[in-house]
Amino acid sequence: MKLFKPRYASDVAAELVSGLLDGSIVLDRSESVQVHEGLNRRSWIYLVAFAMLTTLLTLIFRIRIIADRITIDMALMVSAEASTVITTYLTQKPSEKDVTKLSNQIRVLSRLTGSGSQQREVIAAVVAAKAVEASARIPYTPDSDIKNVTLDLAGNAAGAIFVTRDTFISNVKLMSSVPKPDETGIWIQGSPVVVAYRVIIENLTQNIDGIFWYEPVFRNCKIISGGGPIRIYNGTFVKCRSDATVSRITKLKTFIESGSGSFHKE
Amino acid sequence: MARTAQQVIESALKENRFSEIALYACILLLFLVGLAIVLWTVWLNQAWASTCGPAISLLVIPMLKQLRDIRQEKLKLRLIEVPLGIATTEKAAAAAIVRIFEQGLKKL
Repeated sequence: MKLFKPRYASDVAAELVSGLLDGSIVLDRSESVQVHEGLNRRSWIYLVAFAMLTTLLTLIFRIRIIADRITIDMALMVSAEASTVITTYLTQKPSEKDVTKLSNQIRVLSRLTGSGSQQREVIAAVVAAKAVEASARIPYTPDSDIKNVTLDLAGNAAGAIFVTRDTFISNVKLMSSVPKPDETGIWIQGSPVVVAYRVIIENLTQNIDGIFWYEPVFRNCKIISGGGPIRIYNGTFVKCRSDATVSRITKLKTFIESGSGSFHKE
Repeated sequence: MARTAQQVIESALKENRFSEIALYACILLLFLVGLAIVLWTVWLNQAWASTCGPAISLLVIPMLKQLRDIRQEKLKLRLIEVPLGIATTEKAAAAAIVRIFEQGLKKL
């Protein structure tokens, strides 16, 4: 099937032959064989097209160079960007449009290479984003692997939450009705990415590194640190004490004693 | 009033020119749509959907074939002008067209 049917030269030739023989078509004596200007015009068109194509390719090449540069800059910004994304997810009620936009942003970020701690932050953002994405269509309650529970450790011997894989913990209260300073609230084995969102810990010992804390509340706790990266967003410390592991980290002890705020250490 | 042979050829060329431009436009449009789909799906990270782009762009192949045919016809029409310019009488011109068409242009 032909979309546009051309006027065939054979048809025109047949028409000319019959026309010339019966006299309906005559030869124009004033016209002679000439080289049509169309050929020259066509050459100009090819030349301009070639110039445009070259310019386009140059531009694409330039854009690629710029894009590479942006990628490098982006890699450097991963840390700050991921923190912003996580915070946006966890502290605001995002619309569906925002969720889609931020999910795309996280996908872009997760493709970038960065240092180990930057990658961990991006993974944390993905963990948090997935949880929020799942619950974006219902009244805002961040979904999680462990949520909305109160655990009393008065009768337990080991840590309340034992985490070995990437986990999102939200709205969990870990406490001991009897002060048990040697018991650990959240215990991590290996190096999973753990996001703790609005977790309350009371009368226990907690190692604060290796967990991404969002609005945690520590009451009458013993805070320790293994020296790993620390991320605390809007935390509250009430009557907490720390040991030598905390004192070794610059400003961390002061931060815990100050009672509230955010802390960040790689 | 009798038409001249040149007028007949020019009118045929004019008809073909419209088809040629329309085909160029369609080819460009399909190519751009295909490219846009590829870029869009890459941006959305949907690898499977990006195959639709080249699939749409493949539709230009029959159009390119048709475009080639039209250009060939255009060339043939231009070549018909040669015997018309050389011939001194209408009868000789008609004979030349028939002869040249049978011998040479069929091979184009």
